[in-house]
Amino acid sequence: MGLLKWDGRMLALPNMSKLLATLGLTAGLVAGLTQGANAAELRISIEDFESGGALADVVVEVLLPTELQAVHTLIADYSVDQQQKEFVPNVSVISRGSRVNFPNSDDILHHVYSFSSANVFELPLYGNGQNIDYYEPFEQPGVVELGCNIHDWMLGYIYVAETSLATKTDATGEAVITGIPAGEFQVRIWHPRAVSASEALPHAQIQTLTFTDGEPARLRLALVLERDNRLRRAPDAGRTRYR
Amino acid sequence: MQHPAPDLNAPNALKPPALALLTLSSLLLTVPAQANTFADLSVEAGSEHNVSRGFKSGDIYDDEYLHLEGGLGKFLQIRPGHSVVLSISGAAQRYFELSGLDSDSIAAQAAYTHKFGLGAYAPALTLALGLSEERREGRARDRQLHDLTLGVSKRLSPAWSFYAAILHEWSEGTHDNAPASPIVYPWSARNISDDIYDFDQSGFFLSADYTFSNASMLTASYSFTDGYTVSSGLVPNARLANLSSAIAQDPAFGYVHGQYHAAYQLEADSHIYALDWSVVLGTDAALNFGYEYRDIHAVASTRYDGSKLGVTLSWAY
Repeated sequence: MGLLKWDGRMLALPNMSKLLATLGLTAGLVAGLTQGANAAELRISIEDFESGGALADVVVEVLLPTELQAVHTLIADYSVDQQQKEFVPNVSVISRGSRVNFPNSDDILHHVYSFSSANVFELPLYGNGQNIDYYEPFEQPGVVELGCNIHDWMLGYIYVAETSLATKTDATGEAVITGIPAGEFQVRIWHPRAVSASEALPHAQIQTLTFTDGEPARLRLALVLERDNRLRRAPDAGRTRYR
Repeated sequence: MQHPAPDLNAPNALKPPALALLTLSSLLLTVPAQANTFADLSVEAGSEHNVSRGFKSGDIYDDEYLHLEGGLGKFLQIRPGHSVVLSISGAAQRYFELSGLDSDSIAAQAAYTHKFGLGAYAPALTLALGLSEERREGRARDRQLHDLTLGVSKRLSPAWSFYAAILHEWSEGTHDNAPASPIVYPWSARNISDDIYDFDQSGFFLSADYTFSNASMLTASYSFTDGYTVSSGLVPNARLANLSSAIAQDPAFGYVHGQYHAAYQLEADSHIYALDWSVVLGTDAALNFGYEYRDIHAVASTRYDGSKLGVTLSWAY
């Protein structure tokens, strides 16, 4: 078995490395590969290229060929709450066919919508305790961007994966995917602010890794982030008004 | 029996915005909309050049001020895309030297907004009606303001946002016919009005916001008003006296160098340019650094300018 090493620190090289990163070629990865069948594991560690700090809410998905997807599907119900005028969690990862409900834990009205091609929907004005039994189905893989038509700064994301082999990094920038079949597969890395040249899915990068059931594969990555697309929430001096 | 038509120019008569404000507020009490309460508070410290709006160098005063303002309101989302904000506010401004310009005010406003579509980039049209009562030391400057504003806002990107509005304002002095002055003014023979704050004026407002990646925001704005200005100066000032549409003894500046000040009402075009840099302090507070330049062109090529530099801490809940 070969061992591909690409030290993530190489990305710290000024200018040239930043250019490569902008082109979506920033992967610093170490894939540990051993023999085995059907029980591989991927350990992920992702950081912010600029600050070097851990990067949370990065989605990593192992892209299986169509014939393998059926046995790695986990359809479930999820919840994206609205708390203190924010979507909680900000990034959710679900498998296609799953459903999501959008309770409102605030004591004010919200108006949830999505323009994303993966699922266009709208839940007009509702308050605390309403819509708790409504579950929106998500049948098409992709990224669904959520908004609130009253509070424009509210932004949330639902990443609809093709299979259950997807997760997101925690506050330490770490995540683990288990139960990966042995073989060579593409791995998609997505973050709402990641700079990428991908036309198929904005803010996404693709890496190819080989998985076996022995030693876990490891993915270390430093992502270049674009400016925060979240609208400013703080009041404007002289123009205070309902927010 | 016929009743005479109401005189909208009579002191304390309700102007159309005030009537509309009352009507709208009454109607909203019957609408089953869920109301969200909000509050905001701001405190500003600043320095103002030519606070007296003087034309002659001897009439120009600079001073520092503190401004405190607070408001409470209800946000009512009536239907998707249709919302109304009802709010009341109070403000107090104190000058360090020119205490005669210290002011207190209360205001009420109703604003209806229609958003054309979903999302942060959908344009919005807002019609706002305002009513305020301003009181200053020396009652000659007390007045009621009614204003009507029609504005449109549009966000182009997370960074860029624009706002444009037209407005009309009705100003009504609430203490006209002030007590007789102890001196005889040179304009007395003209039998000119002393209602210096009685006028209507119209204008427009434009602003552009640019938000940086650290969420600090730069706002550039311009406003134009075709209306009036009230300038203060020592008497006698024959030129201003001849150009003025109303003159009153100005108690704000008192007795200076053996002379009294007068407040002159002049027809004027006002151009106000402003730059504000706003720094985020969490999700509910911001610190704003603002600069404003006033360029006032009054009748007969009479012109003055003024400026203001201030720091504002604002908080919203």
